[in-house]
Amino acid sequence: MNAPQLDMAAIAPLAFAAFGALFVLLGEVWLTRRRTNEHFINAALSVLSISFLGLSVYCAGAAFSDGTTRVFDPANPMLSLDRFAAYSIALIGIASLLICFASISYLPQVGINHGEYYALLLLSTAGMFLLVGATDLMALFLGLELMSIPLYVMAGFDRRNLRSNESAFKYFLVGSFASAILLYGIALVYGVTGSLGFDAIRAGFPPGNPIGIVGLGLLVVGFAFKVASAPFHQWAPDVYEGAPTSVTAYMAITVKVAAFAALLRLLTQAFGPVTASLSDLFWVLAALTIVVGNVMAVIQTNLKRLLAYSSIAHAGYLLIGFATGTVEGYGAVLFYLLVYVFTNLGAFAVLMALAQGGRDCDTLDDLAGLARQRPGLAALLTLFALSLAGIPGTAGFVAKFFVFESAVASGQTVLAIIGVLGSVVSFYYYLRLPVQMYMSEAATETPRRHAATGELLVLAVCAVVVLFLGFFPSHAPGVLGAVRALEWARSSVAMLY
Amino acid sequence: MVESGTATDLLRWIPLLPLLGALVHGVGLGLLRREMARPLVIAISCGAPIAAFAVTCVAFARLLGLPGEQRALVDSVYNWIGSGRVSADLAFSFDALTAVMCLVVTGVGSLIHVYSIGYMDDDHRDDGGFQRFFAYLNLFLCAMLLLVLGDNLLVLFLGWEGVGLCSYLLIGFWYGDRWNAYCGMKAFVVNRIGDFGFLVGIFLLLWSLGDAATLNFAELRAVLPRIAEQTVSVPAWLPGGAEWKLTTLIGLCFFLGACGKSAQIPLYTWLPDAMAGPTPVSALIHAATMVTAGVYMVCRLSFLYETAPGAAATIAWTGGATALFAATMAIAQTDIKKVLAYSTVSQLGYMFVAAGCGAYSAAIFHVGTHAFFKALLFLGSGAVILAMHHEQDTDRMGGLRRWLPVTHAVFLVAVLAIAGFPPFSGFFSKDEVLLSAYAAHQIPGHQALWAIGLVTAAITAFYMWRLHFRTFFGECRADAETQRHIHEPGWTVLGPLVVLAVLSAVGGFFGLPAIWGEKIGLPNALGELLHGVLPQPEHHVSHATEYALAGAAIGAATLGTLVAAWMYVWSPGVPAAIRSATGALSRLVENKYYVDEIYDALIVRPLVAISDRVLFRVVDAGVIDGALVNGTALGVRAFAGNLLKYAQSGLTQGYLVTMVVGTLVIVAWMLR
Amino acid sequence: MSAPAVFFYLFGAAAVVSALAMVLNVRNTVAAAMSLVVTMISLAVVYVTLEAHLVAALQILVYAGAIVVVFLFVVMLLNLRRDTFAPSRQLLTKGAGVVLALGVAGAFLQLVPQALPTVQEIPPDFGSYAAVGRTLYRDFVLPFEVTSFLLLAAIVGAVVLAKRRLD
Repeated sequence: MNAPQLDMAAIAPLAFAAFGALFVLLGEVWLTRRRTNEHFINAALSVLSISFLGLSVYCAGAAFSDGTTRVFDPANPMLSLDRFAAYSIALIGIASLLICFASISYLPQVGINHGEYYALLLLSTAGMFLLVGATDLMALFLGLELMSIPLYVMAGFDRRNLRSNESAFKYFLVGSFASAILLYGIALVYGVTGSLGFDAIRAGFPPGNPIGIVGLGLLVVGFAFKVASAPFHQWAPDVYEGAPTSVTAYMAITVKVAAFAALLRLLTQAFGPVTASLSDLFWVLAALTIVVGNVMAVIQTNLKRLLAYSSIAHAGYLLIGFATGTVEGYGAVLFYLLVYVFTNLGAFAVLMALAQGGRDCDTLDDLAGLARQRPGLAALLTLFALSLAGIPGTAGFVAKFFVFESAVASGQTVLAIIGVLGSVVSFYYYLRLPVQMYMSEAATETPRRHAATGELLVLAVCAVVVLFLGFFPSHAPGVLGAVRALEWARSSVAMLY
Repeated sequence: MVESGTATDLLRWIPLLPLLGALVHGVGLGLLRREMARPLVIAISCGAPIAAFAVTCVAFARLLGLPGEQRALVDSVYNWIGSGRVSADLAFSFDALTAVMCLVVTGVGSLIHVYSIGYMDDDHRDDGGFQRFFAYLNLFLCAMLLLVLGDNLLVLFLGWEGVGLCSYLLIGFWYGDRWNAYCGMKAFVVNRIGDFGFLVGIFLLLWSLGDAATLNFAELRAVLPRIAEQTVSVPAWLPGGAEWKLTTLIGLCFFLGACGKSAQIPLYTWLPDAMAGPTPVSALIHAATMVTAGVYMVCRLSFLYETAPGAAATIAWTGGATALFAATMAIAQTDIKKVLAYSTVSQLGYMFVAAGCGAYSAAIFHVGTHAFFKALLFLGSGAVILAMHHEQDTDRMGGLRRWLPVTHAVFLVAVLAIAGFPPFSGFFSKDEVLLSAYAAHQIPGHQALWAIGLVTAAITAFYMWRLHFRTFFGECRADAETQRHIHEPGWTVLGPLVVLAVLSAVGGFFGLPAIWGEKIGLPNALGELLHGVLPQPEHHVSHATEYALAGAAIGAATLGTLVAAWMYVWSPGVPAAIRSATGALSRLVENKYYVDEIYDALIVRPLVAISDRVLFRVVDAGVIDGALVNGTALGVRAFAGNLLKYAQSGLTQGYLVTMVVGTLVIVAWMLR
Repeated sequence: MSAPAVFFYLFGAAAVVSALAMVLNVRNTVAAAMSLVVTMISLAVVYVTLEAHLVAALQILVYAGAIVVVFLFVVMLLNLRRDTFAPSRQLLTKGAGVVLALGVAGAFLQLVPQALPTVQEIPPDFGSYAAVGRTLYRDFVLPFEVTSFLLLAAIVGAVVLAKRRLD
């Protein structure tokens, strides 16, 4: 009996994140023994997490530029580190890393600076890394659970806050339910194909078999829940609102990237031939999600709820790419995710920089008069809101344009029009942020704190990326000529076929 | 690839200079956290548009030196959105049409920047309001120049959204005032409806062109004949039957965008409210430049509308209807800026009449002359408002020519121009517009359209003279304290006024129609310039008819003037008598036909109701009421007792039920 | 019908009935927990009839043993009285639930027989300790290791949520 030939490089990003969690847990114990300054411990653990995530991102970047596909166990392929996985891992890793940076000052401000935060974040990130690289339904499910379980806890991290508890519990209940549905789908697919590996499913999936179709449907529903697509979106506003802002940012951003990327791989690699039949389903989901997300966002007064509905609407635009079912459409989805990460992260980072004295900045009224007190933050939040709305000159416009254009190119013109209509409506609620900041006076002039270095770094990175991608989505001049974001997204998708 | 012009690096500087100005202001405010020295602010912010004007003049000289009718300069900076089916450069092209627009935008823009120095001088807010104002103004100019210089639809759209955003920022400039914020919001939202049409037009164009999809104007012009004869099915109850030409549909989509930007029926309601912004903003954005962007776009896409007679007729008639409708609304306004706002809407209607009738160069001619005299009117009214200490109501003015002789004189020139008296600029351009309507046989009911234009001309003369008389003639109705302080503004305000007055007076001679030009030996310079770029209508009108039409226009203007003089100078009691005699009708006009209220009742409130009552209460399951208010109480008890009970608050169950039903529906649908 | 088949159906039915008994019994928490034990043991017998002996043993040890004991501890510590859970008030919800459940069950009963592939021959050492060990530590080494991190995450999460110290 031969020992299996394992390629450890394939799990390097996953391993760095997972072992980073162990180091963080041990480090907290070690530091607590020696130091009593909680802020120092918090910062040290954050830096530790950032370094491990940095290693993961570095591995992913190397794998991406390398371009080869590494499979962990070729005899029994479950996880591979290919261009697509590397792109997604880099995206998720950078987002997590930036959130760690912003958390350094945010956690003490709201009084939740416990070391477990970073451990859970790293474990969840490891789950996402597994999810986007999984080429086997078992690995996929484990990745999903490893991503979700820490998230349930993180949502309830602010234990003194009842809303945070409510958020965690709701997320846990609904999330478990969705996991069960997904698991049922996996079981049914296994039932008809006798296999869990993507390649084997692709080879053995019997077309027209009702059990197989039900299984595929349940899988799609499971992912629709994770990305908060209507009609499986209702949990999102409650959960996003209750969770601490940094956790909300993490949930809204990285989970969406991981789930969409995994769904993309699942649809192309495991269900390639039958994916075309899902086009109508995605059409309906996309249209419904765009309408529900945008219309509901209009009446929100809580910023986190507003951003939650906005993220639902964005899930709708992303689903347009799935409705096209073309390489261009999927490429547009990956590019959109890139833009989505930095735009949303920027918006959330502003909110995190405004949290102070144990209180989150989470209502529209909290923004009143911000332009006078913190003009820089107000200008940045305006920029991110405009990008979310899709004003030309920002990355948001380019991303939307590619998605809508791919829909038009594949003949889904009506869906593109629905998308345009949705983004027209979205201007109304995104503009309420600048209105509040620039054209309202604060009721009480409480002095606002200065943004910390970590937050400023995140804001600067996000602002630069949003503007840069707005003007140079596919080519960049001069020394930045190597940045070809759209090409990266497209080539990542192309290798899945 | 279509050869589109001579390459140059010059054009990028035209929008870049104002952008640099805005950036310096923005970064300065952001980093220094306080206002820079005012002379420095002024030097930067006024230097930028003046430099842009100079560059435009250089480019124009170069353009004139090029041979050929479809000559153009092209400056492709880099490939903006590329790799894939559709590729768009960040590229600028400078043909005759762009040249005219650019000269107007930078020229009038520079004058208004200079004027703003004096106008904003008393803004002493502690947060750098003065500098912020100029930052926005420079940013606006940059966006407007992107709009007119854009070589493809995406760059045009970049500018299109940019001017909308700046307009929104500038309307809401005096914050702390919720009404201003509301007005800015309204302008932006109404514009977004138009932008929806614009974007759908772009996507329909891409869809219909298939593999030949492009956004570049020169290429579009070349490939458009491919789809010129295609039809699409539309609901049968629409006019024109169940089959429309594809180009008509696309043209109408773009025209919806133009309606939003250029304030045409049904999307005009934002422009009068936009007067909440500072007066230089009204002059620059809401009179001279941004609102003409719709007209510019229609002219830019003239090759599309030439193949879409249905869309062209819609444009002409929408323009005509707006011209008349807005003019009647201007009659009863007392706010000096509101009168000018409705007058702008009405004049924009004229431009669309010409564009719809295929007389694109007449439309651009009117854009130019209107920019001169309407900017002059707004800036003049700004001088009045300054003198009256931010009083805008003409009910509290009157007799101001005593204190403001220069302002009165330049305002008089502008009134003569807009009312259409020869030889002031407005006469010639309006005459061209009316002639084009009269001669446009392809437009159904073109002679009725001409008649509407004529009636509008009379009404225009009436309300402009009414405004003039009520402001500058008669007894002063302001209180004594205000009267003591009325004085002529400084040279930064008066200088631009005088320049604009000269332009308003002689601007018509740039595009003198042939029948007048032959008499004095002056060619139609504008017409010849635009000849290669814009399609020309084929007139079959004799000189005698042309003279008759011009005579009718002068007659209409004179009639309007005489009625105004009778009512407001000779027998001041008449207006009150008329108002009491016509009761309901005059109230209807005074309240602008209640259109705002109707829109509110028909669109805004149902939308809010659907969002609030239906979706919020049903779909969102009363989260705020249920979970957060009651849920918190429940939560307290849950923590006292146990978590499981908390889960039974019923809400999460509801979510799960929705999920199950959703899953079943999806699965059942997949199995069908 | 062979003896294993008889046991399979007998205990399969017992598992379903006791599961229903657990879910429907909302009054007496301890009785519900005991019903769960019955379900778990029945499932273990079903595994035995399917020749998955190791799984059957683990089922008894882990579920019937450890987990239910923890449940009972929780019930005792929280001292839940009989009337803690009011029965669901809404008849409509209940009715809808029953209809949904019956609908789903019916659909599957109709679909499953016509759609499932034929049973494959299982290898001779299937379910043996050696086979399970090989599968776990060689073929499925990645999921096995990831599961350990999953458990770690769950433990850390439980500690975070249960920690007394709130600072």
